[in-house]
Parts: sequence; structure tokens; C-alpha cells
Amino acid sequence: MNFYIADSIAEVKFDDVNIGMDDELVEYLYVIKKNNPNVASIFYYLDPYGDVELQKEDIEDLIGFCRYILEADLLQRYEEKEEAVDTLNDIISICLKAIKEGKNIVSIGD
Amino acid sequence: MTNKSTTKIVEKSTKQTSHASSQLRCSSQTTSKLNSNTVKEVISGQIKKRSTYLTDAPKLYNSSGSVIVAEDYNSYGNKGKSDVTKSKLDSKPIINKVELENSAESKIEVFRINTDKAEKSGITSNTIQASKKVTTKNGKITSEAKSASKEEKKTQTLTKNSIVLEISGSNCSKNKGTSTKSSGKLKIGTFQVKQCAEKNQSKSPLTVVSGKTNIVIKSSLIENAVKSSYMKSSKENGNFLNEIIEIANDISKETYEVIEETTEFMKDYVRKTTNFIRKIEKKLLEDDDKKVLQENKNGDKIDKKSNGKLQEVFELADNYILSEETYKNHILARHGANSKSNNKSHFKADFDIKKGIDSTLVEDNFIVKMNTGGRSGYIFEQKYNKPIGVSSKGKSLYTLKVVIDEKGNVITAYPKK
Repeated sequence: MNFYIADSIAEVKFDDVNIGMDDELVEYLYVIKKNNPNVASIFYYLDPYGDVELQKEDIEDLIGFCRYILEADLLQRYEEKEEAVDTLNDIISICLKAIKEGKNIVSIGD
Repeated sequence: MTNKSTTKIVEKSTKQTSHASSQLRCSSQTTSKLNSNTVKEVISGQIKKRSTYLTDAPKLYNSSGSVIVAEDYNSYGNKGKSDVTKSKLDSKPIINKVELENSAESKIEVFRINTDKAEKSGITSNTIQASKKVTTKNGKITSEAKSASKEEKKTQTLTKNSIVLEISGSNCSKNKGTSTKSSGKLKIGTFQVKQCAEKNQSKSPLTVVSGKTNIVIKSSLIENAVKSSYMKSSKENGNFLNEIIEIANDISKETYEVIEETTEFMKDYVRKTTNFIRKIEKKLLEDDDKKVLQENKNGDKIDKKSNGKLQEVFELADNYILSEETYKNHILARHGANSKSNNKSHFKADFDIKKGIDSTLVEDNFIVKMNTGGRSGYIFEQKYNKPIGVSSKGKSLYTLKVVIDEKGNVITAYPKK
């Protein structure tokens, strides 16, 4: 799953700058949800195999979700923790940039 | 098309399970109840070398070596809930052997439950074995159960060259008291055999239940020993040995009854163990949030409806549809060798993607599980021996992941770790 800054799905060019999230990290975040049912986020509505367009409110939700995962140190059991931390920080950065530019975020599934 | 209908196939988030889930499962390693997580842990634990454990009560070990106690296991241990322990034989000399073996390379896992009941004396040795072997290969489970018994007569060991290390006779009366016991070399002169009041009163692991006579004999043939000078010179002991041999022959005959009885007992054990395995199979069929199987309240067997549901999945996979739109505009565009997408895994140029999808969905070499996040559809994965693609970071990838929807349409396919 990859996150692009774009206004729409159609606008996305695959070779544009994007932040990729590994299958393993996606699955790990689903396990967190399973173990912590109260965790709710737009993230869990993203289709890992399809494309979804996120507008400002959803982008802010995604930022909050990534920050929560990091601050609660929920990646401590993830094998490639440092890499995962970088990924979430990168997602936060691209989301903030999208908000600043008045653009949307598009998640492109595998 | 491969007919999968005759084989139970289960969702198996096994060796290739994500780091995430394997890591999290570690937190439940000491769980004492056989819940879904522990069952998955048992089956998916990445034990790279074969391990065998002899325990009083079966213990299952995961990849980290931590013990998972299966409380509802049909065990003989105190923690077992099974009524096996109430068997009329009520014997303790039963060795439970639980083996879990798998191989990351071959994707074959073998889960064995062996039970041996050995009764030995210096004269006879009887072994009754029951075993349950479950083999999972690429998501398919096959199982077999068997029991066997055999008797080995060792009367020849009780010769004049034998040194009797211990002979004891016990009264099998209701008070279970031992009226006479002699042990140590050459103290056999005080040996007495008394009549047993009731059958099957024995508690000693080395006791042979004879119906009337309860006798424990330990003997050892020691070459170049003292040559039993005492034995040779003692007429009394010579007579006694003859007496023992005679008794031993009686025991040997009556032991057949014990074998038959115990074999029935072991069959019962196998049946109960089979039920346990079925429970495991049933639990394996449960995905994160959805149960493929309907709840089977008595847990005795997987009902036909449940198998029917699985059969639907396999038929769906057998009759999959891969549209050119999906193949070109989704799979090739995002994961093809020449795809411009960055930060995604790519197939190697020489990998035949369509053929890979076909073999993953149609042939036997696959793992199947429900789609993530409660979405409809199924995920099929096949692991290859050689790399089929590379990750966005340039690492070789060996697993092909194919996702189909509830109608059998291929949604995507790509190489993964």
C-alpha cells in the first residue's frame, strides 16, 4: 500500500513520490486492532488491494493514528521496528504536506 | 482442475505469517488455555528442527521453546479434562510423546501424538502403542491414527546366569499393602507369592496384573558376572527359579487379556485424541474475525456444512477469473517487472505471472486464508524455492500472494516476503 499526494485517484502517477507500507506492517497494524478493539482509524478502512482517496478530515485521522502507534510504542514487537517507525513518520510528513498544500492523500493498494 | 474435496484444507497462517502476528503471539506463549491463539501458535510455530518431548502431561512448545499447556488435551496429566484418566486400567506407565515438526523449506508440518504403554517384567514386556499423526502440507491436513500392541517374551533371560536384582511380591488386597518384599541380590529365599483378592488393583508401573497373582520382577542378565555361584550352589534357589518361570508363564498367558483390554483403552484414547485434533482443525479454520465453520457445539467432528463452506472456497479458486483489465492495469502496472511504480514489490522478468496465479489457485501447493479486515474474499499464497520477485528495497521475494473476491475474480497478485 502506497500513499501519494494527489487530488484524485486518477491523478496519481505511480512513479510520483510516495510512501510505501509493507504487507507485513499492514498486517501488524491489523493485529494491533484485533488486540485493541477500541483502536479506530480511517486506516482500517483503507483497502490494501484497492485505491482510496482521503480528504482532509481523513488525513488528520490518519496522522493521529500514526502518532498514536508511535507514542504508545506499539511497534515494539515488530521485527523491523526502526523501519516501521520511519514509515509512519514519513506518512505523517506526507499527510501534513498534503494538508499544507490543500491536496488529498490517495492510498494505492497492492 | 484438482479435486480438493476429499482433503480437509484449513486456513493456516503458518511459517510465513507476518512478523507482526508472530511477534504478538509471543505475548501469549504462556497461555494456559487452549485458545485459538495457542492452537495457531502450536501449528504455526517455527520449529526449525525436530523436537521430541517426553512428559507426564503433554506439553506443546512453540518456536521460542516456551511451554503451551493444552488443558483440554486428552492427557493423562492432572490438568487434563479428559476422562481418559478414569480408565479402568488407571495406569501411569504411559509415556506421552508429543512431537511437532515443521520445515520452512518444505512447508510440511507433522504433528504427532504418540502414546506408549509399556509393561515390563523380567519375564515379559508388553508394549501397547497408540499414535495420532497429523501432517499438514501447504494448508492441507491429513491424519491417521493407529494402535498396536505386541508382546515380547523374555523368559530366556531368566536363566541361571541371571542375577535377580529384585523380586517382590505384593498382596493385592483392598488395603493395597505389601505383605512381603525382598530386594537386592540373593535375598530371594524370602520371596512369597500371595493370592490377589481383586483384579487390577495394581498401582506399580512395573506390575503385571495376572488376575490372581500380582508380582513384580526385575531381572538383568549380566554377562561375565559372578556366574551366579550362589544360584548354582543353592538348590533352594534353583527350585525357586523354576517356580518363578512357571509363574511367569502364567503371567504371560494372562497378560494377553491385559493387552486386549489395554488395546481397547488405547483405541478409546485414539478416538478422543482424534476429537482433539478435529478441534484443532476446526480452530485453524477460524480466521481473525470470521469463522469459516459453523460452531460445532459438541466439538466431536466437523460437520458437513462446514466442509461444504470450504469446498465452496476451493471451487471458487478452481474456477477463478483473471480479467485482462486486472492483469494489465493492476497487476502488471503495479508489480510487473517493467512497472514504473516505486515502493512496491516487482515480479522478476522471467516469472510467468499467469502461470503462477493458476498454480496457486488451482493446484495443491497453497495456503489459504480469509481476506484481511473482515473484507470478503480469500487470500491464497504459494511459496517458491527460488525468488519470484524483489521488494522495493531490493530484497528477493519467494512468495506469491493472490487475492480473489467472493465471486472468484482475481483482485491482485504480487510477490511478497
